[in-house]
Amino acid sequence: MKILLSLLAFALVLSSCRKDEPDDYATTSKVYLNVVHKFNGNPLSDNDTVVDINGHSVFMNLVDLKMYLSGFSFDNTSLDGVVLLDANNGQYYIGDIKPGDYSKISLGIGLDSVLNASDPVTFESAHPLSYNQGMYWVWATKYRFFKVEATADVDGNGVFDDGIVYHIGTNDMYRQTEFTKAISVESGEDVIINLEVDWFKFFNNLDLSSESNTHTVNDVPLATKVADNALGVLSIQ
Amino acid sequence: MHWVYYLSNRFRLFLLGLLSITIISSCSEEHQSENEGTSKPNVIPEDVHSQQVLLGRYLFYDKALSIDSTVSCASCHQQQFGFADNVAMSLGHHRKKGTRNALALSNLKEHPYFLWDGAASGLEKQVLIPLNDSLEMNLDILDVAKRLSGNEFYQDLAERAYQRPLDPFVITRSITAFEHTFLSNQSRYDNYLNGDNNALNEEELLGMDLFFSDRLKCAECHSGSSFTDYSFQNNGAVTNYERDSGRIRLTFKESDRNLYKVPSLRNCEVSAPYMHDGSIATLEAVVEHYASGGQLIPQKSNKISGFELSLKEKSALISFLRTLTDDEFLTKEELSDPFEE
Ligand code: HEC
Ligand code: HEC
Repeated sequence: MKILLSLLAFALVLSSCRKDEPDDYATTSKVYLNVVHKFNGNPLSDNDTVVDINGHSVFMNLVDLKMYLSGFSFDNTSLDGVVLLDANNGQYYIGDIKPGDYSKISLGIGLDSVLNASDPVTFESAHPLSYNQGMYWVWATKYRFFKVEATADVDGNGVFDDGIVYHIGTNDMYRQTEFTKAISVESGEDVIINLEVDWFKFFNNLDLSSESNTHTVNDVPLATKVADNALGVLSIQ
Repeated sequence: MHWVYYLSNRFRLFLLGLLSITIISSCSEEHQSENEGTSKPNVIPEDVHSQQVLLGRYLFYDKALSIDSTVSCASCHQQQFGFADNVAMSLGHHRKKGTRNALALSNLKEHPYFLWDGAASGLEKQVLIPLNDSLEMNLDILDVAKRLSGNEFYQDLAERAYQRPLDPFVITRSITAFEHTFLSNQSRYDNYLNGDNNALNEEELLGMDLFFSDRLKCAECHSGSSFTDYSFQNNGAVTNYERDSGRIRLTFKESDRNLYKVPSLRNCEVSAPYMHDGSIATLEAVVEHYASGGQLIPQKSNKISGFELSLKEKSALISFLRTLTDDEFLTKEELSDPFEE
């Protein structure tokens, strides 16, 4: 009898959830991130780019760029998408949101401690958190939050022989940022957020002759600097 | 008749294997498993869990999991040594020397984290570490999956046990399933705890009292059923902490410098040498270290301050540590090398 009653109660709870589900979901909108990559304000290209760093002309050849974005929210409503950006412009689905007026978008660069504790082999190979993405730091059983790799000609000898590697990770390096932005979400209409990523800003205030390499653990102060720079890399149009 | 058919079939497979080895080795450095084509079980168990464990057992003992097919997990984790190694630094692929002493493996389900510095938060994720380590197996798990993709035995077992091909998920899950069967709970000390009053002799009982005494304080760190409280400590046992700064490598916190996990003491009689760098060769020397109070190093725990021990007490303490040896565990067929069956 007791079992029957609790089953009944359980069924009631279930059906009451079901009732408001359809209304809720019918009206939510899909949110997409439209990402455009830049380097020092110019379109990101494969070609060697001259940049000015601390008064020196540096030729930069970007080799590998990857970055996780997660922890998205509109005001206080969170979206559960995780995005792994590479250097290609593109559109990423980041979750659903209810109609209404919002004034603020927040997001994290990297992965929060819960996502960072994921087991990478449990995801389909195309998933951003999959082992196949090459972002997992096996030795630490954690993810790299972003990779910025380049070859540069720092000393101006005409040869790209100066390797630049910033692999930033560990929970302490997670950075959150927020943008003021008025967004009016109409029922059922897709929301597109235009995000610009300027990779040049990663190099802000870095002296490439001495600050060119960190895998986080081997140079925590530099990693912290680069992680802080990451905050300036993103802007919402 | 059946048997003869089986053999000749195996022989054909063997020839095929040999052929592919020649082809593969002529185009690249990579080799197929030396074990390829040798004994596979005639009977595959019916239940899924046993299939998972069996698959993990084969993988644990398969040298194909290392870049040059010379090293398996079991090369450094040998059953007879409590799944530790009998050298300070085990040799990885191409006989490369590692940087830490291989930990003994038992009752791993109880452990909240793994490795001397606690770097691995789960057993499944730990599997990736030796595979990836440039001094250990040096073969990325995606390459392991690729290498074994043509192996019918593994693919068949993976499908049965996990309903999917032998991918990184299956490799990590099955090895973990096998490791979870490393249960060491039949030592004489366990028998004593289970009510067999004759399991320990008088000397061993004296050693047990000493181990748990306030004077020696061993159990203030080595407590619980695996004889560890899983805390990170410095016991001052190592002369050179510069080579390996312990947990700080992971946390970057100065307070974690030179701290290592308190290791399990199960089967410690056979898991010599000791400490994270394998620098102490015998249990006698371990006890002498604790009696002397060890190195003067700022991070040393204040529980390590030395004590006086008579010869009789010293030998009793060592005798007690030896009662943690589980002979059944060290010889159990189901945990042994399946390629040698
Ligand atoms: C070349 C030798 C070597 C090989 C091969 C090797 N290990 Fe290890 N293993 C070690 C060493 C050394 C440690 C301790 C390393 C550390 O703490 O950083 C260790 C630690 C471990 C631990 C942690 C135990 C604990 O109590 O924290 C587990 C589990 C383990 N190994 C499983 C495996 C598995 C599974 C494989 C095969 C995929 C494997 N090992 C291959 C040497 C090896
Ligand atoms: C402060 C905590 C602490 C106390 C107290 C302590 N130990 Fe340890 N023990 C450790 C740590 C930490 C290690 C590993 C140290 C390292 O690798 O640098 C260890 C290692 C060992 C080992 C080697 C195990 C292996 O597999 O390498 C043995 C044996 C041992 N202790 C026995 C004892 C005995 C016996 C006592 C009491 C006399 C004792 N310990 C007291 C923390 C402690």
